[in-house]
Amino acid sequence: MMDETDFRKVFLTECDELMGQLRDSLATLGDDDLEQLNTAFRAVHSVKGGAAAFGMEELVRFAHIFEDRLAGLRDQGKCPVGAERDLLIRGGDVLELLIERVQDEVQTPLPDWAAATVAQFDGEAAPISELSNASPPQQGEVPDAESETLTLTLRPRPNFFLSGHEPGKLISAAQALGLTDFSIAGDVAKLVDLDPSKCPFEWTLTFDDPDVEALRDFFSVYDLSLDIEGLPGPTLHQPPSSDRHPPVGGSDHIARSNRTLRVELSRIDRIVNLVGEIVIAQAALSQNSTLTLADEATSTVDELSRLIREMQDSVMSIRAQPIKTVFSRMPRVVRDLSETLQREVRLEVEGEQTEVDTTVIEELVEPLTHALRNAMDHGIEPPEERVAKGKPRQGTITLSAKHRGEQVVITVRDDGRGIPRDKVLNSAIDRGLIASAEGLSPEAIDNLVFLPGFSTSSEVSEISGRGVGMDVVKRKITGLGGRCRIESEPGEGLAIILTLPLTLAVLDGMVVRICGERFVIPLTGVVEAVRIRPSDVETMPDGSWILARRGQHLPLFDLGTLLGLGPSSGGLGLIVDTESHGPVVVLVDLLLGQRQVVLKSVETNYQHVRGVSGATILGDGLVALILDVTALIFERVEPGASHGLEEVA
Amino acid sequence: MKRVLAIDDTHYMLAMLSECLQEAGHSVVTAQDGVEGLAQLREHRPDMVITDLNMPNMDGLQFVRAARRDPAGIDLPILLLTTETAQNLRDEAARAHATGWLCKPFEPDQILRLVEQLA
Repeated sequence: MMDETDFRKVFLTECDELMGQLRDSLATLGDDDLEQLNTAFRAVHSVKGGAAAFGMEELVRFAHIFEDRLAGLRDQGKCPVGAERDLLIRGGDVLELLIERVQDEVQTPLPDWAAATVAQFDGEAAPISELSNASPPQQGEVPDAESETLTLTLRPRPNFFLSGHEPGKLISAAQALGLTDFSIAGDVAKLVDLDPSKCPFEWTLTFDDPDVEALRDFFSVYDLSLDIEGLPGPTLHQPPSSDRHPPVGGSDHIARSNRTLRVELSRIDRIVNLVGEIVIAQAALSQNSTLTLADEATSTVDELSRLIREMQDSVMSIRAQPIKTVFSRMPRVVRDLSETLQREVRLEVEGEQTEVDTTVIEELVEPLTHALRNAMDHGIEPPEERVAKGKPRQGTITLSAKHRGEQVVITVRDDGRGIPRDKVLNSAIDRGLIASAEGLSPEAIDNLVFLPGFSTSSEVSEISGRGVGMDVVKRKITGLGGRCRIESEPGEGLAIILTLPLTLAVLDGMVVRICGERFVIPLTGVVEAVRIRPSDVETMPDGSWILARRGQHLPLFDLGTLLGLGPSSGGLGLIVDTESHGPVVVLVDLLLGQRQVVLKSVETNYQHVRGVSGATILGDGLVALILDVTALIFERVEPGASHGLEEVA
Repeated sequence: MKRVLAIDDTHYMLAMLSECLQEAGHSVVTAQDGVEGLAQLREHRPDMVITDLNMPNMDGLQFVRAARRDPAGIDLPILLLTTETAQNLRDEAARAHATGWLCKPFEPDQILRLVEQLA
């Protein structure tokens, strides 16, 4: 059973969603787009309805005046512009704040900006007299089993008349089903405001001793253009909240066509973990060579493996969310910055339905905001400069997401200045030759724009400013097991490309043996495996190694030495693409095979360990560390910031 | 007695509809696709239309849109009778101003009741 606090929790989760819709619709309010205004109205209205049911007075009060303002605008058929639109957006902020306050049970006075906005809304708001009968919605209208009469509220949608319906026919036909009374409910618009193509009112119909089944049959034919409330049993697409105003469009139906169930994330996490354990157990079963299985058993085990893999996929898809939840915040960022930075920018969004694991989604807001800010601040030129360059006055930033294998690729592309990179450094990076340029401090060259404080460096004064906040992007994305890359066309624009795993819970890895220990190298970075002949390896004056291969020179590193386990004995190498540093070769003793592993955090127990992104349990029940090759090779130990692997291993 | 226009590209569906409507005393005009349906609509001025969704030449939704632009069909009850259940199609039907959406298979009684109710 759910008690009230559970419902409260559900409501607050729903508020998140509603606020997303609200943000979305307010940010994209265009000319004559009443549908957006209506979506905004419905979102606020739903917040109000729920808040009233839980007695959240502060929230109800503001939602009410907010809703009134939206309804007023909508009924006038006028899309807000300029100051009015800004006020609505600020109203959205206040509403969000109020919801947070409810969530955190804050009772202190509102901050000044919020109080000012509320006052501004109050200035022109209608009295709250009708509030009491507007909420809580629905409950009173569903009759209990004993009741002999049934009251239905009918709300024609705007297409009611246009769809060949006539209220008179409906009423007279309904008499055969025990209709005893009908009346017009709600407010009827003034005659001058009437749109003859739309049905201006709602009715309440009262039936005496009705046959509910027959009523449902009767009304089912109206479901394209009429909302019905109060009819027991399977719903006829009735909206979840009592919407006193007939909706302007029918798009809310699309959203509701897939039934949903709200579950706390922690419960799903538990399933994900359990499935992870099953995967491990299954691996143990199929890997255990001492276990000789009968033929039939082998095929059963194979079947089981397939099912488990499928189960894992389905469980993961439960946690998947369209990336829209993050993208929808971005128009607002662009809008705000356009003002402060005096840029004219259009934001295009592609692939917002791309699904990504919830855990990844949550972490994406910050890096994406930074990337956008960067593009606006340093990429897109001021309008005059753009015109002078022969570019369109308005800059374009494209935000896109798409799946690539087991990864999601998110791109933030602008058509601004790009990075006017020094050609030598550029080609050095492109060819992955950076390791040979030791004297130039490889990290400063390599990570260029992703380095903190990069913009102040005198060597790259030309591109001053580029890089602000980019270190944050990089840190966040690599923290998620992803990679960032920049594609720049000087003068033409720049793309920041973020590649992320679809999920943080499971990864495909290569199990390798180094000095008797097993480690996992994430497969996302592995390009290929190579056999290394001593004759192909050159030793540089500083003692570092270069592997010559198919005319390419790749830096070679011994993982055993890097891990402090002693030199590797085998002649096997893996070419790993480190993105920012280009491809490198790492020496290992033995490749044990490719495996899907369940990621377990080591940070909870050991803090952040440089070069280690996690641990996993292999088929035989033993622990193996998952290596972050890039960090292991290129990140120098900062005193106090992290400690070496030796303390763990 | 009502005059009903039935549009369907399968003969037996038209036959079933005609039979059940005529037995109840209604008169029936038939057509095999939207184009023919539109012509019949103008010629016979029916009280109601029941049309299939998937048909050659002009499908049910196209027919509804065309009929709503025609004086003969602008406020006529037009029922879509179909096996489709997809929500996006239903939404499209609502936008096209179809009167109602009825899923096959249908009961003769149901059709008769709807004629009473809507026409």
